[in-house]
Amino acid sequence: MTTDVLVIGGGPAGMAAALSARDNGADVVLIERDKRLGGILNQCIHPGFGLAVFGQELTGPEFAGRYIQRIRETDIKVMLGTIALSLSKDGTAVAQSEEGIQEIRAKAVVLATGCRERPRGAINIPGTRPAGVFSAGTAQKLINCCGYLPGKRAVILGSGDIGLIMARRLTLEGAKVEAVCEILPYSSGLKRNIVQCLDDFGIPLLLSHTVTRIFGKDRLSGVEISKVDESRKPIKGTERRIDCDLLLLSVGLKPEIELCVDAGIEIDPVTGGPYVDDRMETSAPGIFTCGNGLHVHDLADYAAEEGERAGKNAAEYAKSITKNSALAVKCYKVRAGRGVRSVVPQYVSSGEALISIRVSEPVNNAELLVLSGGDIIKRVKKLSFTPGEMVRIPVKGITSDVTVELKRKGVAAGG
Amino acid sequence: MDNTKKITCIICPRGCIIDVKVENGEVKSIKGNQCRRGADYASTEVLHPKRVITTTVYVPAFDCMLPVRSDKPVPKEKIKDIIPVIKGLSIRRPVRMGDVLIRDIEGVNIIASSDMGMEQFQHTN
Repeated sequence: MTTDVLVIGGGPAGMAAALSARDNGADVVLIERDKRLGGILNQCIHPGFGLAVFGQELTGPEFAGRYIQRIRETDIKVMLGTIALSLSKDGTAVAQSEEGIQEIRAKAVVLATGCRERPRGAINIPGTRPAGVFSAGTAQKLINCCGYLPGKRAVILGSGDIGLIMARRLTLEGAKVEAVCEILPYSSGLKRNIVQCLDDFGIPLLLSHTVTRIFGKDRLSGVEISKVDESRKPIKGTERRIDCDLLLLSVGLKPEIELCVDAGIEIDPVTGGPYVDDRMETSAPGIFTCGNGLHVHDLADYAAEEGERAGKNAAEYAKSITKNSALAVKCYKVRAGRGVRSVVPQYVSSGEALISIRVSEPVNNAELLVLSGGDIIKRVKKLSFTPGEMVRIPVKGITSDVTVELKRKGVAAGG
Repeated sequence: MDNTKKITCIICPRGCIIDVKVENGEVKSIKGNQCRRGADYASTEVLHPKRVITTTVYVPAFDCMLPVRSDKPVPKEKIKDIIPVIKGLSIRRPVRMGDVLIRDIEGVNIIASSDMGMEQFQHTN
């Protein structure tokens, strides 16, 4: 099969990419391994989506539904139950479905493969290996899509938004959530989720705490939690056991980059996703990326907006309007300066770009400075910056390499 | 009736802890907020806290879970009464996103958050 633009992944970023590539005149094939479009939105039944894109608050399935409806009205070729097995640098993918294996040759490719959860093995919790230890997103899918409650007494490790939302979900489904433990001295989740998912139900949030042992032979029977010191090391003597049959891990997400590695695309060790330019193009000319497969987002709305840009640029590439990857020619670099953990894009090929950053730690009353050629070309003042929040900065007037850094102000700094 | 409630503001990531003093069902004073929006949020949260309900319902006919929601926020204390009613739903027909499944329960409707029993797309391989 041949096409102008192949989009791999049918979540918010992939659907938006497919639509915008089609709107820009390309023939589009969209492949999705699940039996329906929507990606992770299908299991996110809670509200909080759509404010940026649709100006109203929707649940995940409703947000997906809007895009699905629009795709239905186009001639985008949607292939469900189809997984990309490999991708080569020239834009040829090998895909498998019930029908068998086939090759899809595309002039441009948009990767929208989403992210994966870090598992128990990534954080090395000592103890036995019983059933009952799940990643939070897996438990979310079991409850919301499969109608299966994976336990009755739960401890949640990690207070990012997925962990918080699962605390509420488990409670509403009749399970008892004993505690949410967070190794850091602050939660990376939204305040809104702490209030509405924990406080509403009286679930304790234990900051500077982690799980230090797992008990149980066949089924989880309990966990040992401990306080941690400033360097996140468990403090001896603070151990306490909580009986439970379910431990959920909400301990971070990483972009899914198997296909990128396959195609020899360069990866940023900080974001865990590919290096891109302001057009969302990777180091392989004609292969674009967006959404959580590029860097982990806080809002699906922004993943979709990124997909829209990637799709448009892929369509233009397919039409041979643009053939120069900024990464190939390495125009201007964008660097994370003091107080900033990550930047996307890492390269810019034109004078303007939308730069997404995450700060390293919570800071109040601070200012983000965007520096280029010795000048401050943009300032973003905010009462509060937290690592859980992605800050998006539209920047113009880029004439040389760019650095984004955080400048603390006043005495209130240090969150 | 006289009491002071502590509210964590959710308007921005700063999360101010706001003290709201209530007398006879009226807000008498608000302290700890750093902006106007925080004051508005805190007084609503003390007098009439409301939440949108979302959950899922098992539909045997299609062997799948249907996500549902309230079309408006409901008083927080009613959530535990409404959830069992939703769980008792028996759905036997295909559903379109937005279809009303329960009409007027505690002043809101319960609606479907997703299509169900309808093919999204033909498998086109």
